[in-house]
Amino acid sequence: MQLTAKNRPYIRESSSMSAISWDFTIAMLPLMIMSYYYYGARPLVMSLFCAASAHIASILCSLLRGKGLVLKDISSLNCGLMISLMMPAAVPYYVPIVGTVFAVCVVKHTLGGLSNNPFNVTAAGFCFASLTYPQMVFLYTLPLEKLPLFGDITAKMVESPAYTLKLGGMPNFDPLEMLLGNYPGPMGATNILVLLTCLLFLVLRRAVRWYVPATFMATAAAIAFLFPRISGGRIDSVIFEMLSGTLLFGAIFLVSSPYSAPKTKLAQVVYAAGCAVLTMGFRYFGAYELGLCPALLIMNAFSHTLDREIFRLRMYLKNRRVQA
Amino acid sequence: MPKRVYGGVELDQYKEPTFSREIRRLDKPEKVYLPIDKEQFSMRYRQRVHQNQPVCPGVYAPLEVRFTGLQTFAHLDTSRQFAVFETAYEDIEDAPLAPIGRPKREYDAISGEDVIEIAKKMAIIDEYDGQYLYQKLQRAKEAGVTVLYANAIDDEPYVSAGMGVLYKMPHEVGIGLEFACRAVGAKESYALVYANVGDLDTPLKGSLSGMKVKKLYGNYPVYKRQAVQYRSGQNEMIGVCALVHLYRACRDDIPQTTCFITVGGSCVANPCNMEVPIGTPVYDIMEKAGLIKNPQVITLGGPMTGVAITDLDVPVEATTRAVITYEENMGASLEHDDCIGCGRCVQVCPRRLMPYYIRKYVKAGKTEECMHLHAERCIECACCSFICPMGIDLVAYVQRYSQELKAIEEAQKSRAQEAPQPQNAGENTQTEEENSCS
Repeated sequence: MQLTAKNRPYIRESSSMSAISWDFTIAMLPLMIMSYYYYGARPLVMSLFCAASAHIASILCSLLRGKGLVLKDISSLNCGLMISLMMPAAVPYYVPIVGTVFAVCVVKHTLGGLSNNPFNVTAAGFCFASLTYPQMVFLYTLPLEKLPLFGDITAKMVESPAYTLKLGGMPNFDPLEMLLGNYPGPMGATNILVLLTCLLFLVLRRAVRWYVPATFMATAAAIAFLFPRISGGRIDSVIFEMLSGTLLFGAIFLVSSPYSAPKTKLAQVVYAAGCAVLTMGFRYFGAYELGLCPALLIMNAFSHTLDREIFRLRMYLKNRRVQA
Repeated sequence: MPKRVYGGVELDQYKEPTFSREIRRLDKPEKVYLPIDKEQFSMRYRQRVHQNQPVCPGVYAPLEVRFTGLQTFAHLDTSRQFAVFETAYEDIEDAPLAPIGRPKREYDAISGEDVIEIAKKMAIIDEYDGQYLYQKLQRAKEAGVTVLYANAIDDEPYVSAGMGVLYKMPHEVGIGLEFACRAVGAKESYALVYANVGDLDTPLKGSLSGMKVKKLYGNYPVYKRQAVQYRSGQNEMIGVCALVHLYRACRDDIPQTTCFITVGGSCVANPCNMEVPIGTPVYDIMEKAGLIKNPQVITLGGPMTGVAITDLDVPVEATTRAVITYEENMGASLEHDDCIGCGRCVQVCPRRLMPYYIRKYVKAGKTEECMHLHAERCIECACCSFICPMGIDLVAYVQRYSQELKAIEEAQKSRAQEAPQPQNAGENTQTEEENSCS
């Protein structure tokens, strides 16, 4: 027999890194199916282009960094898919591709690659795309209008409920229609019921800690309740704020993403609450409907600090208790 | 209010069939390797030693043996020497390992001081922490311990040596515990067992041979974490195997020459708990238990805290509680070092440390900045490495941190010692005056 020696432990938890990544990819599949139902094959082609460009950019960056041809690293795929799902269905293909390539090359690989990215790659890519092409990223087509795969889009373009809220008006969509995703908005962020199912799946698979999106949504709802933007009442304000824009999508896929978030529980809760406060701040006072992504990037910068200070505080209180 | 317990990991225990089977005995290994102190050891080549006679102070021959040489092993500290003995069983009857016949002493005539003396003379070692039993009893007596616990906690998968001995030899453990209580002056005694095992064929009884059994539940680790309260303050824990040896020593003057181990894993044909002479090489144990597959890894100890061996001549010692085989090598390695930042290691740490950040700081060479992370609190349970989806050896980073910290402290000490001593004020002024004159 050939005995080998590594270090303990000699048993392992069965999940692997690719299993975690695949959990997120599987969670996005129902959203892509619903976007196909509402907008035709264009969203699927866009997702494919984004995923392919993310992977190719990742391979090229690995070659540039001297790591050789790394074909097995599929971690960038999720970034491409998420950016495409946050886009309108009618946006030209180059817009999400530009965002994806920026995310993978500048935010991910320049700052260290897979294990070292301090900022959420998807949020950074989406911010870049929306600030570079703001007139394209915030105009949407009506659902159930099939869009051509290539060529000019001649469908009617409208603003989303998030823009109406920004102007202080009340969106005239039935909340039930909003739950089913039958209103103009980002491709993957409008189907609220499907998103909640995806959240349940990710929580049961333990890819996402339940208290992170819960804290984020609860804080955002509290702010919407206490400081309503619309005149229809506080409950209506909460409902429309929660159902519009990429709030729920971001809560599930971006804020809960563990890679650039703090690692300890209390720090994650503070981080989620901080994200919600900043998101609502950007929504209320920002220039565009863009709220969640820049808020997330700001809180990412504080991840290590939150972990460190909360850990120090806990050790200090423990030592005081022991001495007492 | 009970102390809240954080983190840890839930492990599948796989304690069958080793727990429910009877304890087997390995009587006749071809060779034994006994740990010796080189300065106190002197024997001629082929010198014969009878069973239960001392080889050197504190070490007894488990069988009729002849000395054939000295050896060291690569996986251990190479300053530790082992004396190699061939068994010479061909010309005598097999001496039994278990006591038979009438006891040599009456139980009631043995006082507390006698128990401590016997434990010292017979070199009984507690298998859980490697301490001499007599020292533990003396310390417990001085500290005024009032509750003694028979420790049968087996919280690692496959390992069932402790609970196997407790449930298959309750009489010996019970009387041994009584002797230990007499030595320490304790009024109460219990047995402790880890009961969070889902697949047992035999139920865990709550009362054994007059001993009450306290069951512990919860995630791994239990011995290093929750059970700390049972060995601090007015409480002390003693391993069940040490109690069995204490019973035998008090009854029949037999020194500790054997240990109880679990032989198991996916490659063993007959997994079971076994009583083997101390110093038996792993080769003989594998032969006795039988192999149905070629293992990739064999560990001394459980899968979470054990040490992998590559040499089948490595002997078991008094603190070895398991020899486990694995078909696949899923060990952690410093070669796989791609952390993805998932943070699971931080979620499972039972000491609420942050292995993710400790690794980052140690890799960056910033050990001093890492001190606020309190890595010295680590109990090396290996939960972080277990849960890591990338297979990173996080325990090694914490160990490296401890080594670097020690090196820094020693450098500081030596700098402080080498620093020139400050001169007195009078001498200084005189020197300055002399300098100014010239």
